[in-house]
Amino acid sequence: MRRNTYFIIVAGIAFLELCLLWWSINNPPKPPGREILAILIAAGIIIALLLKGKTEDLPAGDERLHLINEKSAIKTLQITWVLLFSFAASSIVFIVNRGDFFIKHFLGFPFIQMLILFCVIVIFAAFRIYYTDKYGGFDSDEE
Amino acid sequence: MRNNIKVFRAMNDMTQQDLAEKVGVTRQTILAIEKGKYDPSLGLAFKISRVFDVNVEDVFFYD
Repeated sequence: MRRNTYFIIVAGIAFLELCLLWWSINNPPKPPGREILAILIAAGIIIALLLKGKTEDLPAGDERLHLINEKSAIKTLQITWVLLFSFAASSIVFIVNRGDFFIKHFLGFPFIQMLILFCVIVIFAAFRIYYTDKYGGFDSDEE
Repeated sequence: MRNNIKVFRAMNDMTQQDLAEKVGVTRQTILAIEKGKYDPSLGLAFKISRVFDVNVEDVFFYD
């Protein structure tokens, strides 16, 4: 697939997803419509990522650019994780101190956020194990 | 790590862009290597040396 075709398709997917989101805000769907909507939005993003792999002449960048992106990504991940965890933890404290109504209706959100953050750690650990194995971290000396 | 890529480029009448194209990187990467802001990988160091037809130790010096 050519690069311009890829960009046009991604723009189209982004526009459709925005329209879906806007429509769902104005006309809140009933279940299972909500679940289908969430799956459609996620599917659009996944399709765009899969198409990227099939696109020719996308600027790949050289080793220096990869190093820059790598270091930027790891720092962003670290800072984002700390910010989100701090926000979730302080939200729990705030909600618990507000009384039963808040606990009943809002406590779930920061807990879900913490669960997602825990999943991020698991995913990071899995990738670390994969790349350690890939780059010979688990090999033993033949002697 | 130091290098004298600039000297070899001058000897071979080569611009940074020419060298970048020959070794498959951007001109900014060659510039960063010459200024000492970026240390190339082993593979890239060998590629650069081969362009000038010299040994890698003739181009790069480890402090």
